[in-house]
Amino acid sequence: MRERLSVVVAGDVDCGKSTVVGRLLLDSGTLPRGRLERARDLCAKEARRFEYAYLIDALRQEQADNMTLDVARVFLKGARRDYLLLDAPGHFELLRNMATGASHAEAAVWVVSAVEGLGENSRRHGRLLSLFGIRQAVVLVNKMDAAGYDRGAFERLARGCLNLLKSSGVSKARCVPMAAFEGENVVQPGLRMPWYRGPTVLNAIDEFDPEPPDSIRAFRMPVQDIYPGVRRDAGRPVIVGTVESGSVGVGDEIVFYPSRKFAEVRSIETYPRIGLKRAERGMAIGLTLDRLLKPRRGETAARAREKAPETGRKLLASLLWLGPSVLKAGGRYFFRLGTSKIPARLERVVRVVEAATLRGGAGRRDVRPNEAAECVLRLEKPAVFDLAAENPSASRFVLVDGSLIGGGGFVRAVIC
Amino acid sequence: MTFLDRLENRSIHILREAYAAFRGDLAMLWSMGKDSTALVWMARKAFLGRIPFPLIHIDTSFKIPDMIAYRDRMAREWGLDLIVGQNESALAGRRTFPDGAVSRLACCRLLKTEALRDTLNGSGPRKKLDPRSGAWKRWRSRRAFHAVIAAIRADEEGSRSKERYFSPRGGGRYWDPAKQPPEFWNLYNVDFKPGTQVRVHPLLEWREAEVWEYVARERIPLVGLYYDRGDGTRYRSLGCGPCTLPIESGSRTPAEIVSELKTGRLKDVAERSGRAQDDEDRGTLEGLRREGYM
Ligand SMILES: Nc1nc2c(ncn2[C@@H]2O[C@H](COP(=O)(O)OP(=O)(O)O)[C@@H](O)[C@H]2O)c(=O)[nH]1
Ligand code: SF4
Repeated sequence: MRERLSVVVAGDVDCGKSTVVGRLLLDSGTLPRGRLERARDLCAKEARRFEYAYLIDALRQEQADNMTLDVARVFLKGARRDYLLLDAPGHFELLRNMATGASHAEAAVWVVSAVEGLGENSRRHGRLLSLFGIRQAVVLVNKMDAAGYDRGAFERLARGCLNLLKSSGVSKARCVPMAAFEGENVVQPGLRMPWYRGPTVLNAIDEFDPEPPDSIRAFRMPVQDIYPGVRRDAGRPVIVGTVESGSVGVGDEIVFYPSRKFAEVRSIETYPRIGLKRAERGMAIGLTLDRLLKPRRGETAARAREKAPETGRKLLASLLWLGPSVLKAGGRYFFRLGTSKIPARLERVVRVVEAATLRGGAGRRDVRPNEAAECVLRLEKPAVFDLAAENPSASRFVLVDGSLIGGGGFVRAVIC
Repeated sequence: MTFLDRLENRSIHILREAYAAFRGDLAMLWSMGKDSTALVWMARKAFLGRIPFPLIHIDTSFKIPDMIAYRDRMAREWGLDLIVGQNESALAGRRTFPDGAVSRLACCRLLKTEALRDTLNGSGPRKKLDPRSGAWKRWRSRRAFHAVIAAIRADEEGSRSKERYFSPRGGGRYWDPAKQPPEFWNLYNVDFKPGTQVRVHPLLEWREAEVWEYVARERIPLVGLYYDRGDGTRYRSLGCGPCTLPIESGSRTPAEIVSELKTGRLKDVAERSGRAQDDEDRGTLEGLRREGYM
């Protein structure tokens, strides 16, 4: 069975996203039979210049009944695996859908135009990627034909994009010069840029890591629930959860935070299979312990001989706020991380990193919908987490405003 | 872990989140189709053998008889707490499409949408299977279910590609795809005001071929209608008898179906192409979904 990776496609309006996606589908042989011809005929009949965007729109319409307000999912066959392309619209009002899609993506494709360069809107897209947890990206410098396939132009733009990504936390990135409309470097290596020896777009995507190298990280399992035990095991309660990072084995000594109660793992429970000795990241399991201990939902299990998680009540966090209301200093919210849910107050807005309007920066007391900010949060009880730089999957949280999720982000540092 | 393992484990995680959040308010829809049956299978894994909430089947009375026999057999074998709801008054008054009285859309609305609504809120007639005797008994409880697990997939049909894993249906059951709250990572919206209807979709990211690979790997017993049993036809998607047609296909096992979907003649053909109710009007399913149909 083929692997499948989710990849978010970001980029400003008109940089050529639809053309890139269209060309990828076409040149990789993913496109259903006859689809291209149909789109070309339609354009000819209506005396319009053919655009790949029509092809994608037609595909989307089929997939989404004409309402494309959400992230559109498009399947792509790569050489090494399959992809789900999450085509996030370039408009702002739709940021929440883009954020939802991108938070489920393992990598990003960021399209910029060699003609328009790095405008403010384009920069925003690049900077926002890291806020969704994206750590690897390919930058497509598109429309190289209109820039005379000029090496200098590509290198200047590529440098700007890579710097921006690095500084916002996307650690693994590379740039591909291309011309989507011409099919240069999309799936086949282009002929017009002999100075470029790197991979094509599809090859670059095929080089993404399927998963962040989390196996080396410490074991973390947020407690989801406690189930009554099975008869076979004298009714010992089963502590269920999904391994967020690292791994755990029978016989390991584990500690529950924040209560700091500890016990030894007696068995790993899955059904109908019994006798599992070790569970790794991503596995939904149950644990029974060597002593009667009932941790609560919201606690996190860690291994005693590995690095302990952080605990803290006052945190520095970076977050993306999506509203609908304004996030205010002094406002009360619920902080949710792992399986915990803790009443919280927004103590201070340190700075607005990405403003919805041009007036942003320091000195603000609120964060408006679609803005990204660094904030200090004060929690009613200590939370258990890792810092974003060390173990992102155990540092991400959401803020619940009233009854709905209004935004989310990563814990950057513990203040106390 | 393989990709299939990852899909399975994520679905189990979502099932457990749903139960942790909604407890006695939670139920799961089971249509006896491959998707919801695969989900029942995963729920047995998630809850270590015993599913701690009821399963609901909305019986239009027009289901293919094999499906009902299969339902009753599996319910006993797996020890399911099974509730069956039905719009008895519409059926008694013969206000159905097969009776020639109303359009397909109106029939689906009565026998599916309304039946589901009344089964969930407790105002409609409900039966329960007695696991020991195997007999059906009226269920007199007024218990309502606000949170419902449904086995929809994003690749099935357009409006479903816009769904979230946990999706509130507002004060009523009305669904507005453009106004959904964001959903980040594995942190889902579960803090709803009391009385909010919630739909949970643990299979959202599965594709049709992946469900079949899973059925093959796990050896999940499905109703035989999915397989060619000698006449060169089989059902690709199961629904009401009068509105579902078998397709021409000689696949006899889940593995044969997988290869048929990936490389064979079904590669570019839509899954629900045998379902007449989708064709009647292109917006039908989105319209029904907005009103609460699965
Ligand atoms: N010259 C040139 N134009 C391109 C290229 N790729 C896309 N375009 C054009 O740029 C415009 C915007 O493209 P589109 O894919 O619709 O952009 P989107 O808004 O980002 O989806 C269209 O007129 C395309 O034909 C390219 O490689 N070279
Ligand atoms: S599928 Fe056909 S028989 Fe079943 S409810 Fe709809 S219209 Fe009625």
